[in-house]
Amino acid sequence: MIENKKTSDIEIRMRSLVMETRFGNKSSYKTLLAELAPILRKSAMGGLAPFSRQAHAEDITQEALLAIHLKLHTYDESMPFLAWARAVTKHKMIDYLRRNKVRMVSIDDQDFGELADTANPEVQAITYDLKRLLDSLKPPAGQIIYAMKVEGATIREISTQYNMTESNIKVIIHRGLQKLADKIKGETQE
Amino acid sequence: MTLRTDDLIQILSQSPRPHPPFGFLLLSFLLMAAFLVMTMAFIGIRPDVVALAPSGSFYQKTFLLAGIMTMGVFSLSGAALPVERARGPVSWAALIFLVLVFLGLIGREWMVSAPRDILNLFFLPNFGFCLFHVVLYGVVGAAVLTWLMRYYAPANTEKAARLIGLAAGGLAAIGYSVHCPVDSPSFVAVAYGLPIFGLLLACRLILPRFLNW
Repeated sequence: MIENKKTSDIEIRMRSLVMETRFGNKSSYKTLLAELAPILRKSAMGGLAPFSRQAHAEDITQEALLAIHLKLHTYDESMPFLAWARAVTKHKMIDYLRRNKVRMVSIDDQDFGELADTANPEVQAITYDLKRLLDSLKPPAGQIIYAMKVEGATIREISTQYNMTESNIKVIIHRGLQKLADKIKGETQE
Repeated sequence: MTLRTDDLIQILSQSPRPHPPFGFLLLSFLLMAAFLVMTMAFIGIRPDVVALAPSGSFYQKTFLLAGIMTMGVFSLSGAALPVERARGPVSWAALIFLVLVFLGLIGREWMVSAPRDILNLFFLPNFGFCLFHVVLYGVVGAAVLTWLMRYYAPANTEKAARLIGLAAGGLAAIGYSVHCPVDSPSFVAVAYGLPIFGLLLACRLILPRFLNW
C-alpha cells in the first residue's frame, strides 16, 4: 500500500516533468533525467542479476538515458511514464546481452547455489534457470513475473501494459509462481 | 550517481531532441498520392475511372485492398513504440471481417463463373504487370516507411518490419489498382496478395537490423 502510494507520487512527478519538458523547459528535463537515473539503474541491476552482470548496470543506465533523450516523443501520455522508461531500459539491456552473447547462468553455478537452497519458493523459482522456467509458463505469465520480480515494475504498470485489471495480474503472478515452485520441486525430486 | 552519468545528463539536457518530420498516417497518405500520380503519369489509369464512372467491381476491389492497407498503416503507429501492447478486439474483428469478405467474394465468384474463365485471367499480361508494379511500388514504400520508423523505438523490430511490408504492399496495391482493369476477387487475391505477402516476408527478413535503436 505504502509502496504503491510512493510509486504513484513518483509517477505523478515524472509525468509533470515530462509535460514541462515537452513545453521546452530544459531545467525540468535535466531534473527528469537526474531523478530517472537511479530508477533505471535499479531496473538494470535487477535485470542483469540473473546473468551476474550487475557491474554493467551503469552502462545500461547511460544507454537508456540516451535512448530516452532520442525517443522521448514516442512516450504515449495514456500510459505510465515509468513503464515506458523501464521498457526502454529493458530493450537496451537485451541489446547489451545479445551483443555480449550472454547466456543464462544455470543453477549449477556456485553464485546461485545459496539462493537455490533458500526455503522461500518465490526466491527459488526466480533464480533457478530463470528463462527456461518462465518460458514454460503459458504466456504472458512468464513475462509478467519477469517484469515484476526482476525489473521491478509495479502491478499498475504491468496492468496498463497488458491491458488487464490489477487483480487479474495478481492472480496470474500467484498461479505462475506456484507452477514454477511445483516444477522445481518435481525436477529436483527426479 | 557517477560523474559520467552526471555529465551525460548535463549534455542531454542541453541538446535538442530529434522529432520525426511526419506521422505514419500522413506519410502513408503522401505515399499513396505519389503512387497514384506515378500510375497516372507512367502507365495510365483505367478508362472507367478516368470517366469518373468506375464499375461496382472496381469499388469491391478497392474496398478489399484498402482494408489491407488500413490494417498495415494503422498498426504502424502502435508498433513504433517501445511498449508492446496486446492487439485490441476491434483490430481482431476487422481482420476476421476482411478475411471473411474476401473468402466470400472468391467463393461466390467460383460459383457463378466458369473456372476456366477465372484461370484464364492469370494468363493475361496483366498478371505479370500486377506482380511487377506492386513489388516496385512496395519496395519504394517500404524504404520510405523504414526511414520514418528509424525515428521511433519499436519494441519488436520483427513485428515492425512485417507491418512495414504489409503497409507498403497495401499502399502499392491501391496505387497500382487504378490502372489494372481486372477486378476478379480470385485474381486480386493472387496478383496483389502474392506481392504483398512477398513484401511482408522480405521486410521481416531484411529490415529488423535497420530498425534497431
